[in-house]
Amino acid sequence: MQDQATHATVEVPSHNGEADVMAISPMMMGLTWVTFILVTLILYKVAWRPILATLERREQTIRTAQENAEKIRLQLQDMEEKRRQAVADAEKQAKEILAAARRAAEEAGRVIEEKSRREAQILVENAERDIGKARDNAVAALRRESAELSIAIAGKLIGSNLDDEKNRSLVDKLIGQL
Amino acid sequence: MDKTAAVNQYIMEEVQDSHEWVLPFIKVHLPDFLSVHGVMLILCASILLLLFGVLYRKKDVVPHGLTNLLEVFVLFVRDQISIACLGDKDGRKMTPLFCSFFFFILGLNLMGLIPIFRAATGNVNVTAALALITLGFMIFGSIYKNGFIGFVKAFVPHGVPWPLLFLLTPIEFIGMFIKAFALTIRLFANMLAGHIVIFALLGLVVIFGWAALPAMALAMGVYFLELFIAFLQAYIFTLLSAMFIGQMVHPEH
Repeated sequence: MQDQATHATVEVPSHNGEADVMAISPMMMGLTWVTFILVTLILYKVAWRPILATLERREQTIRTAQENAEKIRLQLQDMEEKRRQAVADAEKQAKEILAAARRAAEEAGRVIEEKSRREAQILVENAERDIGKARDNAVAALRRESAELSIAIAGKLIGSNLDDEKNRSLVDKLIGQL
Repeated sequence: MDKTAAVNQYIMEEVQDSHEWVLPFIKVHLPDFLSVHGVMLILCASILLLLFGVLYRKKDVVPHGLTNLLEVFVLFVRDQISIACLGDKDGRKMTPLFCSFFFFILGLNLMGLIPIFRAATGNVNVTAALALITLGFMIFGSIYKNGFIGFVKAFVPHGVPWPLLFLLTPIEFIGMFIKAFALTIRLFANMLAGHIVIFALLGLVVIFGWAALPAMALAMGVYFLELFIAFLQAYIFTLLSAMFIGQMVHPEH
């Protein structure tokens, strides 16, 4: 068994322990440098630079688009505000017009009412005056009639023709005392 | 005992670099200058070139399918790693490097999980080479950006009583190398250990037979964990590289 193991290690002399894992090999380091630097340089030309440029361009595009969207949003907001303002103004004006119209109508109604009331009053006053005049006339006529009747009756009663003027004033006095 | 030794040897062969690439039914013998891990590096590089050079449709304004998927990672590296650690201006400039780091390491990690391939990131030379690139950017990026005086000043901590500076400045200076070393070991050890665990669990079946069958389920679980770790370690290596470079380039933060 021991033989086999020894044999195996002899066969592959460089693979016999931990020390080899840490073995320094300038060849390997050199190869790593050459490969890595070549890859980095080539990829810088064909990949990293264009890729990063594309990324930055896209970020720029997105940023611009976002800013534009924000600007448009603000404009829309502004327009919406103006529209709302215009509608509010129109409504206010309409209200004012309606209110003015109502006031005018009320005024006109009031004037008409006032005028008709005055006319009615005039009619009533005229009528009252006419009535008063007619009554006075009637009273005067009645008084004259009654005086004349009284004189006639008295004349017939006493049988003598009294002085018209004197009698009439007497009778008037009597009637006035009634 | 011989089974255990064989399993042990198999595991070591699997995780170590060699010049023999074992494919199903054939063994490919590689030339001296190219090991299996070297082949993995070249394959991964080719896959990245194919993915990003050919299949990624860069002109698409609205990305679809594969482009969309890859773009998520590119954006992530740019925004969450590069710009987060280096600021907007330098972050955008350095994004290509970190994208390369991320996708290169991720590709190597994921290739390690495919049975016919090996994990090149489980090779300390590969991770050391990558960490040295980070170290190079830490040093020369700082000198390029802040001048040599600025570079030295980065090791002098602010708001510390001056006698302490004799102690802290060398520590800060050594710390820079330790950071790079930690990068190396973190990635390498994670990938190596993950693969050893999977192989060891599968090896239990070889050693104990049917009795160890539940270990298969466990190995499956560890495999999915490794899948996650492949992404996690690529992310951590890239993030820490960006953080370290950022600390050196903008020491005031």
